[in-house]
Amino acid sequence: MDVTNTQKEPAERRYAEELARLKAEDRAPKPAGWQLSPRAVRRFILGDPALDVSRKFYGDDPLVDRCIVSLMGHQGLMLVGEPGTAKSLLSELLAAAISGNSLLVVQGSAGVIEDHLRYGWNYALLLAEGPSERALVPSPIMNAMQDGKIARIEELTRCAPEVQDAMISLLSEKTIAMPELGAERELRAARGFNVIATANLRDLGVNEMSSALKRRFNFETVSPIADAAFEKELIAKQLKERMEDYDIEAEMPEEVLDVVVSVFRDLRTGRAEDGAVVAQPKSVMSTAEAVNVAHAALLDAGYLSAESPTGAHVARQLGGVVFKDDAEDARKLRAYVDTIARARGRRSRAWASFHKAAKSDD
Amino acid sequence: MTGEALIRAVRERVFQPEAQLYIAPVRHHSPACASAVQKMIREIRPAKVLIEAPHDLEHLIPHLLAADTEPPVAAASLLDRKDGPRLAAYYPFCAHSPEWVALREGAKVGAELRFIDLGSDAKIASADQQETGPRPLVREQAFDQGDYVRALCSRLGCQDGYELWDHLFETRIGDQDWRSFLADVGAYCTALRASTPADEIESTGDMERETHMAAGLRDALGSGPVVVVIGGFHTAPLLDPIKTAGKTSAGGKSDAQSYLIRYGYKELDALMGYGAGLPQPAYYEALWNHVQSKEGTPDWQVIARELIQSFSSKMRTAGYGISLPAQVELLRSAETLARLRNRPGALRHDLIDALTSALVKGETSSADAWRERFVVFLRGHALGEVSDMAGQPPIVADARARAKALRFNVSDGLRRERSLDIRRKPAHLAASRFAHAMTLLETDFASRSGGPDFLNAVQTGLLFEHWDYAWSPKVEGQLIEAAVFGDTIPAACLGQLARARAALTENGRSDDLDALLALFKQGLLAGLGQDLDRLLTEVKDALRRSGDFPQTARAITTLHAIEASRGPLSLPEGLEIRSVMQGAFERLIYLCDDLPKIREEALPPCLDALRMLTELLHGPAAGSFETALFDEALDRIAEADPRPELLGAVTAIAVEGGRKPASTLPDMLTGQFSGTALNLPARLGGLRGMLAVAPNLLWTADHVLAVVDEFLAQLDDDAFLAMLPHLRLALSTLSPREADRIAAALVHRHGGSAGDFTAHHYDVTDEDARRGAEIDAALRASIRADGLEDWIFAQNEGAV
Repeated sequence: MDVTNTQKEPAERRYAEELARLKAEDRAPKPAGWQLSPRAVRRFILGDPALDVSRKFYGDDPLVDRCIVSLMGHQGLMLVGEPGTAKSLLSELLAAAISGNSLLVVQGSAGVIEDHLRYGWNYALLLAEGPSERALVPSPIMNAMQDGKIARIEELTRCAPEVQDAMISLLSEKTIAMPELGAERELRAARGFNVIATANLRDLGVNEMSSALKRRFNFETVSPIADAAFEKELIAKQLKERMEDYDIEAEMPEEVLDVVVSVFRDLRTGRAEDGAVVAQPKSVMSTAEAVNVAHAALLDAGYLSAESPTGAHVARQLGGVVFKDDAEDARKLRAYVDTIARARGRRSRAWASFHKAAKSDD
Repeated sequence: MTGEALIRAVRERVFQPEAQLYIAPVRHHSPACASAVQKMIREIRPAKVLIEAPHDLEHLIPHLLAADTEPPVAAASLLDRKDGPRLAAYYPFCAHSPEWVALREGAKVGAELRFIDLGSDAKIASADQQETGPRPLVREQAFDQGDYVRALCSRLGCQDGYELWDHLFETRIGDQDWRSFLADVGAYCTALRASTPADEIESTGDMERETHMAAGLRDALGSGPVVVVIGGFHTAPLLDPIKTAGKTSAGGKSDAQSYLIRYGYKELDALMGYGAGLPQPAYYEALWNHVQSKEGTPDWQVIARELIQSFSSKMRTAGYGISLPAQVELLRSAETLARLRNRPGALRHDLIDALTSALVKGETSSADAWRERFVVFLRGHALGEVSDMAGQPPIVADARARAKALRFNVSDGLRRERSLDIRRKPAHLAASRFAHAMTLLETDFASRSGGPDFLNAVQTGLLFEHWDYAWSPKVEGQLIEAAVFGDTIPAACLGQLARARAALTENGRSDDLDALLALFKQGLLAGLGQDLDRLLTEVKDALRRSGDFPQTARAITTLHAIEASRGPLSLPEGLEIRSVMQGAFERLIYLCDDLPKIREEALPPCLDALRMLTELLHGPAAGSFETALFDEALDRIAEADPRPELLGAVTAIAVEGGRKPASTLPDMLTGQFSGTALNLPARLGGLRGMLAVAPNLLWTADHVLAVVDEFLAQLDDDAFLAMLPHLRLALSTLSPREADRIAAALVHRHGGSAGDFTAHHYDVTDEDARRGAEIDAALRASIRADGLEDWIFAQNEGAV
């Protein structure tokens, strides 16, 4: 595969140099099967200016510590939290640093069957030779067990409950029995094997996790970024990156960006900056969605109305991008617009145009 | 001298054997510091031990040393001001406070014990005047903020200044080498100080305090070894006490009164929120007890294991068992985290982090139950004891003085009665407020035997309040309990309300508006006035979160009643209730949209609420709110295909308010009556709804009564009987006078007179009466023959 033209490279290739530097300097003891010591893994994710290692995950350092420690034990690691909070990124970084390989992934969906977690067959060979090791197609998890690496399961809760159940014995016994190859044939995981799963507990269409499965995982919640100024900076940065692909000159005025950040933060946390309580919508109010709204507002302003973006553009996009056809959420947004946005509109032009546009949309 | 040179100087000169000066730089409530101070005093055997505590608290030292005084206790210091309320501040001691250990160890080696800080009056006065509530007499914010702390945290991977401190210093608890430990604390704190802007140090009044402490130190030198226990922040200026002190003299007069009170870990932890030392005292006490029980460095694994075991067993008794594998994982995580973070053993933050990993299954939030339980566990519940010799705190004196001034007889323990003319005599109102305040503090001083009950809104129009009251030792005991909250009755009342508020939260009733407003009313009755501001803000917040339509409607009615009230419940000046009502109104409008989806059994209170609101908005509070928003919300309800009751109610409100033509009502009722609902009573829904909010429409609105009458008239007997109980229930909202009006209207429709329906009258012929009497006599004879005359007798009795 031509790697230069892929959309996104795996973390171990993207940060190969950093990993190499960390490995060269790594004197601390390593758990069996790990490429780096736990401390070096931490430095890889949280950055180390001394080795020119960049920070890749923001906002919650103790969470990273806890993740690393969980992976050293017998429990699997389950990353939960709202969409758009970089769960998958964290899982990829952990796998790349610990195993040097973040590609052992099962992408969970309603279509995943047990074979995707254990092993399947090359049916042509199976018919020709009968069950044999050559005919067996191992799953990424089986490969990870064999080599003592970290396996990743994305969106575990999207898999059917009976498929999730297959994970229970896999995690507690750390073996896969292969009765087709002989009575006592099984694969025992090499040391270093563990599982990082990501899951979404709030979206519609996800399956409830059984408590037996929950017991086998340590749960970590990846939260949205707590620091408002930092979130704003991050949004501005990502917005700029996205706009590089377009041929319009569009700058998000500071004041309008403030409106975006405040609206998302207020509705996400249920509390406005001045302490007033806000009804929280069910819609996902993540940083990623904030970027989407700001992006769409910029495109709207630049391509359609050919003017500088205002609060009105934000308001118009908010309905389409975030508040997708949920009457209850629309009502919460209306309450927000009626009280908080209206009050702020008396002091700020951006808020005033936001309020007006949101009201007329109503 | 600045920066590095100063840090070096501190490290080298914190102990000056040639001058017999030994400085112990500490952090308040740090067991590692306490342990070092203990070793230091045992080795040096000083002639004098000086402590950074206000000099005017010195008279409390004997009480602190008394055998029957047990930590946690606090020195409470009070300052009367000409303008504004009395201020109170606290200087707490717990078993692992370096100051406490210094006092006890110093006394053991026969040292003279002195407090050398500025008087507490100066310190209270210098604190932020705007602050209400308890304030600490010692502050050390520098440990938790500033660029230096942040930079060190990010380099060492610590979350905050507390973890940083634990990482750097509590890990060394029990270290035999107290010299290098204390020198390091001094150096660290000097570095903190070097990165604190000079104007910040000046603005806190630290320089003045340091000059004063240096003076005390200067005076103490020269007659044997001197140990001085001070906050590490002040180390550098005390290296040369003579130079720093100049001509300042130590001691002096103080305007503050001080006394010793029992203190609790709960209050201690709250005070530490203001930067007064390490939080979660039970955890640090466990550390301290561990190193006390075994000389030398601690066995961290044992500490972690014991903490986790004791937490687990506590949780098991509380009904939240933690499985053994989960306990093992907790311990493993804590220890591995500690190793990852380069520590000898699991510290407080490691334990909390490990708990989050091992026990929380699912999404966590800041208010996660397990974390909260663990933090409460680490905080502890210890309550101290104060020696009987220490005397009474001023809250008792305050209560007595107020009682006397308000002409309550408290010279003996006799129970007396008193009637108060609360609406006409201001002095009586003040006395009533005092009695209410004492009731709020649960002192049993007074109980209300008659008069208006404002809390339950019963007979609020009465003019006189009647009280029974008596002063007793129990009253004093309860007052001393309340001293933790404040030194005066109003301050203690505020504390009591805050506690009751917190209890609501702990019981999962943080948004219980009825309970919150009850507290607010209690505060009003007790005359807390403007200080209720905070509680009112909480009411406001709870209103904005409220999901309970009837409760919110009751709240807005109550608030409006308070606003309109002129008696004991009247609103004190400066308390802004209008915006709270506005918030409640906005919330109600929002909640209106829930009504169409509400379950049938939850509907009646909502209908009541609608009636209450309509009366309020179209009556006394008209013009206070944007009524149009309410009307719009009702229209939205009507359009959302609501239950018949609700439709009846909102239609009735609209008709009554003149927003819809009167014909709407009979049309709606006809529609429901002639509908095809198989269950006949269900067809009465609209009528029920209308009667619940506006019964008068039955006879005032055109055709309504006619429609109802026609519907009932066309029913056959069976259907009417099935309908009857429901009809009676619906009509029970009518008062007797209203029932009469309807009767009159019906009679008018059908002709005849009302009396024809009410008086029942049967004509019996003589022949019938005679035959009846015969049958009766025969029956009695037959029963008597069966030996059942008791039965007849008992039946007759029962009938009587």
